[in-house]
Amino acid sequence: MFSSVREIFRAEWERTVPAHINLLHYLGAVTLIFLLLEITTGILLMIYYRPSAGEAYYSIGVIMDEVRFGWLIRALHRWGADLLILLSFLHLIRVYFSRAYQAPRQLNWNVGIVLLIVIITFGFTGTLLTWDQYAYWSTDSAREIISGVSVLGDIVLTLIWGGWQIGEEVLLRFYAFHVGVLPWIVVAFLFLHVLLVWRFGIKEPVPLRGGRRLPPVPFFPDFAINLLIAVLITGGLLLSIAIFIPPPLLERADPLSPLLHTQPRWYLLPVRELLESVSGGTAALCIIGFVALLFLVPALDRRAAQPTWKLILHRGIGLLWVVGWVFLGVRGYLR
Amino acid sequence: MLAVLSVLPGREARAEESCATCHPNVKTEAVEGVHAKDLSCTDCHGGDPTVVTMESHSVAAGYIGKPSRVDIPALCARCHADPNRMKPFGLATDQYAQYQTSGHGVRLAQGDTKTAVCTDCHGTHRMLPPREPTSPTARRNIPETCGRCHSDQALMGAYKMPADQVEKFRHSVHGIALFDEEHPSAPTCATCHGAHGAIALHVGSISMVCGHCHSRTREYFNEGPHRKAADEGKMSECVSCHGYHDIAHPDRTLFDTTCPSCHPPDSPNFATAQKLKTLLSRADEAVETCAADMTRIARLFPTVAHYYPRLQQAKAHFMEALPVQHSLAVDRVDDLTRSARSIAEDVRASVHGVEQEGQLRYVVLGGAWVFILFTAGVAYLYKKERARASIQQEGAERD
Repeated sequence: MFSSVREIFRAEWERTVPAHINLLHYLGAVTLIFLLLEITTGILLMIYYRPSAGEAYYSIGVIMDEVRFGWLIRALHRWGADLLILLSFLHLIRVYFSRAYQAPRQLNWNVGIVLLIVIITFGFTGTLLTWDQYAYWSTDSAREIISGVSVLGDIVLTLIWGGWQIGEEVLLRFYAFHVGVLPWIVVAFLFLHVLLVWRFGIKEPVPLRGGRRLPPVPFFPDFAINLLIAVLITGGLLLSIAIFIPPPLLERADPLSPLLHTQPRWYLLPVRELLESVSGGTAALCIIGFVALLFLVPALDRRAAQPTWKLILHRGIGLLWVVGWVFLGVRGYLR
Repeated sequence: MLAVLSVLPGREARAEESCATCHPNVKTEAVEGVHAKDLSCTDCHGGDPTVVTMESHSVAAGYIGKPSRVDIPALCARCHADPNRMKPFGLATDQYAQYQTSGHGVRLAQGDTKTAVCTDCHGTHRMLPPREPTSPTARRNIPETCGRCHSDQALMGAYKMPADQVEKFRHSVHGIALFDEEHPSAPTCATCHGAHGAIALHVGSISMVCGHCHSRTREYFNEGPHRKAADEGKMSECVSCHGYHDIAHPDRTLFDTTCPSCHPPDSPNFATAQKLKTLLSRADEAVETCAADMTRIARLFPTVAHYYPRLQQAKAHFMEALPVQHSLAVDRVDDLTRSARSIAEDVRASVHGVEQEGQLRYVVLGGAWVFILFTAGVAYLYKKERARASIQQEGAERD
């Protein structure tokens, strides 16, 4: 048994990665590290957080003011969530443009899409937990927008809000999702995602024109050192943001004092903008269509060798998605 | 004249009138006033409104012309003292009765026609309700309305009265609240002196007037030794220390400027005053310093906002001490100011703790970046060294 364990360790120690990978190939691993950071800080916050409408806000105050380094844990969790979603988006874009979803990695692409949706849901459910004015009214605003979508809106509201108006029940429901349901889903899919990467490795990038294909380099220590540097720099940036910019906390949620013009979190701005620009049903179809198309990307682009015009089309569509999404987000922000 | 006035019927509906033919300017004014809908010219002036010639002014038709000043209050009271006439408008009907008891009414009854009558304050034809900002009886305009006579040096000189009250009031704490801050509760002349029953305040009644708004202060004043002194006529209650028209925002210099006017500096009473001054000064300084520190530190560390309710508690204790000082009860003032000081100092210590911890964070961040850059640098150099060694090894193997 020990010899087989030793063989496994030796195999892992001698694992190689393609030589041509650049900084963008580390996004996935950095995202993984940040997800683990979110899980760790989330567990620490759970110790002091009180999931009730009467105590949630004050427990945040206790975490910020009385728990040793509570302010840091909360700041890391809050800004880490935004950074995690940003890294996930960048990782998805990188995989798309490098066509790393092709065989044998089609399943991994789909698992990654599911992970992205779950991570965004984490962010959405976590927003309400502070139970301040922004949390309450931005979630209420989302509920109103979703309720405008025929049929699907009702289904979503029933599934996520449980049919309730925002109050104690919805807070508990969101808390249960955030700490009880979504973590299991994300751990399961993350395990599958990492397993598939371990199984099929990183896709070898196409060498630069005229460049020769270099032999693969060892994972340890080359890739690991680069990963360490990337994690250190990104972690330092997160720590700086956490220290310089305290996470916002408005007054305690007051159902009788609406906060006008609440904006959803930045990653949901394009969705809100889409839902407000076109009729509810059409917007829902667009979003569902977009997600379905994402899942179908490996099926639509199966062949490794494609004519140039198809490659240009592929890149153009990707660019259109990214620019369109950013445009909707900026427009929603400036509204 | 009164008999003539009394037989004039009141109208319920206005008939078409000829007065405007000759008096168009007056008509224009009257249209803007509160009487426009329900009264006609002849209701006050008499005459025949259906005739366009001078026959409309005939005495036989009840024409009285411009009412004399002596008759004006009674003329207005014909309606305004009649509950049945005033009921639809929800207006009081005691103005005439009050006026007759006022300084103005008493002088008028003695034949002094220079004293104020209804039209002097309310206007004549263009009578506006007090809620209209341009009305002479609007709150903000009352000092100016009273000042038409009471700021007239020549007129007031005949009564041996000063004529600087309005000017003094303008610069007083009440005047600033009324004119500059537009505070809805700021007093006007009528608040203290009365409106229709305007009388000069007499010694012995002042704290009753001030106490309408400053009720707690009045209660504590009545508990203190100054109550007895006021009852014996040795002081004029609030006025002795605070003045009347020129009341300034009270600060602790009053202890140094006002108390010595009755209490010699070496007297025990003056020592009590100085003790009160010290207690209040220390508490005020503690609260103000804490508030200033919180404002400064909150710019970088917004979490100090959580301490604002505690600071408000300290302020509340201090504010409570302000009326209590009028009882001259040093021990009670000491209790309140000590609480205020203690809470303020406690909050200040907590806030400074947040600031120090915040500054420590920057030091830790700096240290973290030093570690990050050092580790990244070492890792990078190790990688470079490995690559160089690998190239050298490959070269050696080829050879």
